[in-house]
Amino acid sequence: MAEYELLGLFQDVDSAGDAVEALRQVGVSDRSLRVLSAFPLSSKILGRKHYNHKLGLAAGAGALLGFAAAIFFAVITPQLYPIVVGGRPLLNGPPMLILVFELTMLGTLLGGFLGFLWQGGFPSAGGLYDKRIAEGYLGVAVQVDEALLEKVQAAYSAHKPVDLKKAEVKPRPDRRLLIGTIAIVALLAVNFALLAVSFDILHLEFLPDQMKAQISFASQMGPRLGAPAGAVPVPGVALVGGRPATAPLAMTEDSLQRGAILFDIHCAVCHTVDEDEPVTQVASFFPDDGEPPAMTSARVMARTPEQIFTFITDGIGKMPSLAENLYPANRWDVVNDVRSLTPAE
Amino acid sequence: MSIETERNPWMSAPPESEDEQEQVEHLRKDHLLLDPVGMEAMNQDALGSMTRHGRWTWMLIVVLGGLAMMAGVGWLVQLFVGLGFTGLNRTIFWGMYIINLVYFIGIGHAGTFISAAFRVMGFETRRPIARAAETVTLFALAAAGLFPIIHLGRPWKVYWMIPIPNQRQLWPNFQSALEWDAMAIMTYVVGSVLFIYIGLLPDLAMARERTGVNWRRRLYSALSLGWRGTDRQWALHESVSTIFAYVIIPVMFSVHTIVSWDFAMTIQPGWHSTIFGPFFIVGALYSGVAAVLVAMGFLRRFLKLGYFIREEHFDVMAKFLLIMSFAWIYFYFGEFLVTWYGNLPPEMTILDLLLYGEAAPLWWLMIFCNVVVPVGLLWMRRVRRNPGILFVIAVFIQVGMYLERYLIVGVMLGRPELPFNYSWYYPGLEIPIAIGAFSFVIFFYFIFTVFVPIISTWEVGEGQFLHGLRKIGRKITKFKSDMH
Repeated sequence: MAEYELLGLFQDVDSAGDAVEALRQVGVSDRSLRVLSAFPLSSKILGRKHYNHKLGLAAGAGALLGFAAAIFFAVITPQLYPIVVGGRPLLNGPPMLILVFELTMLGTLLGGFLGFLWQGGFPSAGGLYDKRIAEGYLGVAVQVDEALLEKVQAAYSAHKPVDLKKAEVKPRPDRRLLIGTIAIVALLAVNFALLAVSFDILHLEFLPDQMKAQISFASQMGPRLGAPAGAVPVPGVALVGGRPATAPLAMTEDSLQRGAILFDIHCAVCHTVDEDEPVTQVASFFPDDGEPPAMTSARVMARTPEQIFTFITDGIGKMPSLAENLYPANRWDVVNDVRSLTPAE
Repeated sequence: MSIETERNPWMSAPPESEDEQEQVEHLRKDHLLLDPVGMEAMNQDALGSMTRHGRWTWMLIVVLGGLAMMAGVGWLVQLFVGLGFTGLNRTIFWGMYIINLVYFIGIGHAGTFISAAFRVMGFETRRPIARAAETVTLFALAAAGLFPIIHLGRPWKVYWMIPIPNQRQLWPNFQSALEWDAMAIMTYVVGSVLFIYIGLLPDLAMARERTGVNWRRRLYSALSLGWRGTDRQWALHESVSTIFAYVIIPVMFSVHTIVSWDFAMTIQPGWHSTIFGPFFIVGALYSGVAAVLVAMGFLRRFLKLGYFIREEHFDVMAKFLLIMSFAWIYFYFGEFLVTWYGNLPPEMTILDLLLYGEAAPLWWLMIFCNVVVPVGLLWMRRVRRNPGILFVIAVFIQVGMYLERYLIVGVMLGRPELPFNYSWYYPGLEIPIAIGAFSFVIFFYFIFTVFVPIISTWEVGEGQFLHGLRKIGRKITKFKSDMH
């Protein structure tokens, strides 16, 4: 039996409401009835049953999905890709709450919107329409089979519609379930593909594995990089095989002057120049071990310049290393200064 | 013209005397919702606005498009030369790009607030201006979203922020404020786009039926998703709008709070403050409402939408602006009072710098724009009802709020705890890019008005349907009927 759709146009709310009532009395079910308007009119105004939609359910489901996604991202994924946290906890409450809030809200919005599309039957191409509806006229649309057609048409005409349109309904399969299933399957497939890539089950050659592909060295591992242009060299090693790595400096006036100043800063706290001089404050800490020798004592005069350099570098006995205080070249200055000293007459 | 119209059965009794006639005309002149001309005329007016851009407006659009392209060229230069080409330095590592991000997200706040919060609270003023405000949000967010990417030295790695499984064995760190930011802005953008789209559906359907241009009809047919306006569709539409309104308000608050946390989570003096969240929200609403006023002025002037956007709407928005200015002053004072009373040396350095130091000219200019101008003028009814003066005040507030963000990012950041690191920021390339971003927003706003009716006629129609006149004693007054 053929089905027909009818659309009657009415000028005001009252006559549209009356027409709805009349149509219902001739046996049109509430489900196959629609009232079209340019702006929202409540079901009570139109004399219709309250429409129980499931939008809240859709939004709630979206919120749950969003919440689950947030927990997945905030709690599970950090453990899959652990970062170095220096002894701090890997998972923290407050930042997770922020993520949970945002994604739950996003899920609510998307769930609400998809529920709106689904229950509203969008996108749809079907249904009679008239451009005058957007201009404030009201449309009353019904879908009836042939048996009721005449009664319905009579009910319409009784309320004097401005216009009455009629069209045969061609059965159109509802593809929403199919499209929805395809969408979900496709989403899952994409997700699994990404996960497979992530865990190297599926290795895509054209996608560079940036962490593995990059050049990296363990600490102190060679080859050493060349010095960049304009770099200033720092002093190299002081001793090679226990002997000075550099040659002594010439005993120039500059060198002697530097040596004298550096001797006063770094050496004179312990060492005197002449044996006759009173012992320094520091030497008084070692009453039994012997005092630090004076620079013009026979003990010191017997040393070669290389030996003095080594003592400054490494220290000897109670004397600490002064390597941190003096560059190798300055140590030679000090050696020159010590060599130039003569005992007082 | 009589108040009785065919399509408005609620306005029944015609005026009986000359005095009543006068009162009625006065009310109609003042209130859009009491001045129905029928849906057909409204639709024509709203659709006509899409083709009402005059020669001067188009010239402005072309100039704005050119300026936006200039920003694109500037960005290309930066891509090839590197971030070092900008004025950023080691202490001030966030410059005008982040200032623009905060600023544009800020003006993106009012649109949703006006649309969603006014809807929840049942403010009728929203009806003709909600879409205009939402559109500000849409393009301000688009511009804001560009800036973190421009700020990246290597923007092609932006997808590293997205949690997708990958062969890199790298994963975004959700403990980072920057990642919260990405999540919040994404949620807000999705919500705002869907919200504006849901509101557009009925108008797109209306445009589909009325337009005579072929490409337009095809475009609107596709976009309107076959909307017919059945009572079930409307019921769903109402519910989904309400859900969106209730959800998007806390999201909106979270977005700017998280933007402020990008700053407040550091221990930088001047940033490390618990008040930063609400302070940023108030600032955002302040600049956002001013931006909506600018847009309303544009629409009324250039698209000749004087029927829809009336003085009463400017008045309400200006009052809202005045309240926001008080709120902003309160927060700003609270922030500085605590700093001043605490007297901590690193924070006092910044306070001195702003109040008497090198940054004082900018700071006092900001105070002039944000405090003196609006508070000094907006209390006057005549000013609130003058779109021209309001436009100027709103531009002043834009300048002031931009300066406020500039002082927070470009000046305060130059005074960290260690004086060794003190620094100044001199933007170079950032300036043309920022000018381009402003042009980008206004350009796309205008282009949007070419494609989409910027006035929601169904909302205005509903409002007019619900409102009517009744006589109490000798006075004619308006009433609103509740359908639910």
